[in-house]
Amino acid sequence: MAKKITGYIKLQIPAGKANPSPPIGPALGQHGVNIMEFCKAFNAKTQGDDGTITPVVITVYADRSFTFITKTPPVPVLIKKALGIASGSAVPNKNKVGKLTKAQVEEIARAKMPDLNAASVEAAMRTVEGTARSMGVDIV
Amino acid sequence: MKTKWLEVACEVPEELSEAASLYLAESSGRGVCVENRAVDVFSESEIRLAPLVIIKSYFDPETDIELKIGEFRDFMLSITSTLPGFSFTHPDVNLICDEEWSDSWKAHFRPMKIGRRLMIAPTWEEIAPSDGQIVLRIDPGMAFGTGAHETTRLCLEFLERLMESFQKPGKPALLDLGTGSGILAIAAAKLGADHVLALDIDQDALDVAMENIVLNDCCASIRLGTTGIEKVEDEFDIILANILAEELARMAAPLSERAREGGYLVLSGILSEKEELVRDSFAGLSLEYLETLRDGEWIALLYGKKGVK
Repeated sequence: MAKKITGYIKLQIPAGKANPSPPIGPALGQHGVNIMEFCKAFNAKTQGDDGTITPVVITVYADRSFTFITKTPPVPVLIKKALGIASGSAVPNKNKVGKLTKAQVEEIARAKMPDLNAASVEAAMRTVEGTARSMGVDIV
Repeated sequence: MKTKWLEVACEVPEELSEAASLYLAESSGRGVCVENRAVDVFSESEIRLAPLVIIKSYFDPETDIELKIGEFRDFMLSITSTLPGFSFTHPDVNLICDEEWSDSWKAHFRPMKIGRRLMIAPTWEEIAPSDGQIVLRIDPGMAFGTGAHETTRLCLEFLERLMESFQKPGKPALLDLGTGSGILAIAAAKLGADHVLALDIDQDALDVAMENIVLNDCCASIRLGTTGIEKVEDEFDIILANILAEELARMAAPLSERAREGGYLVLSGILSEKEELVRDSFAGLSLEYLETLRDGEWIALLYGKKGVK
């Protein structure tokens, strides 16, 4: 089909919990797309990761049909998930909240590679390590 | 009483948008809208990043919003200590009401009459078709082809005319290349075609097409597949290809080969400015140009397959 793109929407929403209230309702409603269909498809695709903040990019076409792709959760979310902690440190230089092994760093880097502008796994690992330190997480 | 939210719109540099979005998503517990733009392009690669992004987050009206904004300001200042020139801008805060978003989008989809007899209607609309009217039930969703676009309508107009003037014995065999929601294949089946092959490279679109085919009770007439045109072996009386000009130009030879002698080729998805490109690509093949239909900035072309000399 001749698909001309008329809308481009980026959201970060909890996996498995999409519903028509904000931010989804106002964002998609503005483009007149089928909100319930998006919620149903997004929840089906992200079930099992319930509640994890998940980036999603929605493309709206000229006839108000749409597609979407979910991206891997942001690096801080993956770090907190790996360590089982609720939040990073408010004073990362002084108060440490956990330790990531090199293997965990690599696992997160590999998971995040498709969405990072990193040339290699090593470069992606450096990004992950930088984020971890800014959260008060040491690399061991 | 309608539910209300405080909408907080924060302007942040693009390079900080992921961190800021995550902070606000977790702070509000609801998620955020990071970007929402009207565009006019054919590919996502044409969409340029904006240097500043407006992130919208939503809070309960009882929230101490100035406290939340103060915490967000502290967070932003902590991650921007190395970003020269950054200064925190106080977000815009607005009270918004529930606009019944779960249903309000339906206002964009009303029954549409196309051509002489066709009507496209979503399932929630009750309609009373007049004599001879053919109703297609299509709910908008995750596949192109809701009926609301010029390229679909132009195809349907040609299709209706071709089906009404079809004079060979038996019913026509039809190929719908790039079927999307299946709307053209379903229209063909409802207009009398009984061997319809509907192809799309997108499996998600085919899933939607299958739902629509079942909804319209056309399972016996339509086959779905992901085969490329180069690998299709059958010949067809009518071929519908609503794709894009460059793709049509690339597939000119196999499209022509798959048209049966005396058959027709409908090409749609062509911007007016690309008409010459497509016509040049189909010149020199065993096809005769017959007609151009226009609607806004879009055109559709009709070709007839010449007999073997």
